[in-house]
Amino acid sequence: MGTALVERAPFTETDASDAAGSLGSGAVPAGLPPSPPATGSRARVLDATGRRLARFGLSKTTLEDVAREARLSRATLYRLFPGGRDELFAAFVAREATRLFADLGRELGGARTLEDVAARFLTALSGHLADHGALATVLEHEPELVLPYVSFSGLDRMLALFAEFLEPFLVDRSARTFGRGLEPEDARRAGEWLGRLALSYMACPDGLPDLAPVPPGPRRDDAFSRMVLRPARITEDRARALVGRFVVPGLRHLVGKQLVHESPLQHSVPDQVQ
Amino acid sequence: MPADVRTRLLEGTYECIVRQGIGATSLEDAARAAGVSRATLYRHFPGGRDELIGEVIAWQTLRFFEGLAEAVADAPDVETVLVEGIMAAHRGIEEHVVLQKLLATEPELLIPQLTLESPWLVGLLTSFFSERLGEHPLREGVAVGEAADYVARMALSFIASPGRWDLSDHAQVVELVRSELMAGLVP
Repeated sequence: MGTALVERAPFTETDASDAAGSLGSGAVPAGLPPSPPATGSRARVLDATGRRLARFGLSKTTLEDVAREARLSRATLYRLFPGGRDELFAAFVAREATRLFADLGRELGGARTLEDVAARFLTALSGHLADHGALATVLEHEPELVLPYVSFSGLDRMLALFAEFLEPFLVDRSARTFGRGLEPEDARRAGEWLGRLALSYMACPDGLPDLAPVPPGPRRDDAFSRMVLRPARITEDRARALVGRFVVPGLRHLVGKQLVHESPLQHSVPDQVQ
Repeated sequence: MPADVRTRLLEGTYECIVRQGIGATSLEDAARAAGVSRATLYRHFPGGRDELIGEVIAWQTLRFFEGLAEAVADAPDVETVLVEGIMAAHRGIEEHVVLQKLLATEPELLIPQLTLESPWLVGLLTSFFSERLGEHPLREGVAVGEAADYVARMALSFIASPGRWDLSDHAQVVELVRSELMAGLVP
């Protein structure tokens, strides 16, 4: 893992509007920084940045390095990114995030039931993040640059993006599965819930090994620390088991609550409509 | 003053961090605060400053969770453990002066250390919940170990990042625990 993923650009060149697919609404969350499709030199520079980051990490990636990798002059680079290295990295992150959500949107579009869409989200998100060359290298060697984005208030922001992204899928698929759609706020809560699961289970998807934590202090080179710095894809089987066991019952309960609230008669929620 | 040198070192280093932050706390500061020589410090922490800082953070983290365990010791059932535990943890973090100060001033020095502890913390919490859930009838097909692992991961995720939830609101935390943590576990 890590250094081997150099030449790949794992996020496909995708028009974000394709991702609307079977949704009827844009899949890329409004909360993301804007990233207009890059063409020509700009695209070359961003691709070169990704290759350079995947091989050398962030601290060892200067504008000059990227210019060389992209086979462009430094002057061209400064013209494209007058804000320098900071602007370049911000643009790179914005593009990768936009591509991630566009890819996820297309992949989730084909999922039929609520369980399908939830399980596929876990697998697709974890797979994309685990396979991203630049992210893998920076996370493993410069974790202080990545980890603040997935913990404390950084995690709150990330979960809000997932909640917004998943809402339309969950409303639609819950209607198909339970005969009744989740209310938007409940769908957002469910989206946040799935975001938590995806990010948590990327560290040791199949459960922690039986390492008795004898000394209370974990260290960087510890078996435990490696689980955080080298996240893994959640397999389809594992995702379906987690979702089926721990998530769907709670969602069924939420939909059931709506029905009871709306009518004095007891409604029972079918397990599967189709 | 505790006779244990290692504990004195941890306490002394923590005092330095409280006063001047992580980045400004040197090995010399730590040794002086504990009243020991650098040589003694290296004997206990051969990995030097990095190891010492990591151990101080882990030690404080463990104390935090031991406090939580005490807070829920009398809870009659798993649901109450989770509700009271999550509320106490959220309160504990919000009111932790040193933690909040470090998150504001030196997040890049503190957050990675805390995040790297998370699998270890999941292990601790899994053991804790395994015991409590073992007393509980579970839904068919749900194994105690896997359920405990799930609850541990989710609880840890909520503690530092409440997301859309107001974790100071008892009614909301009850709803959270019932819909997202317990719904898949109980028959």
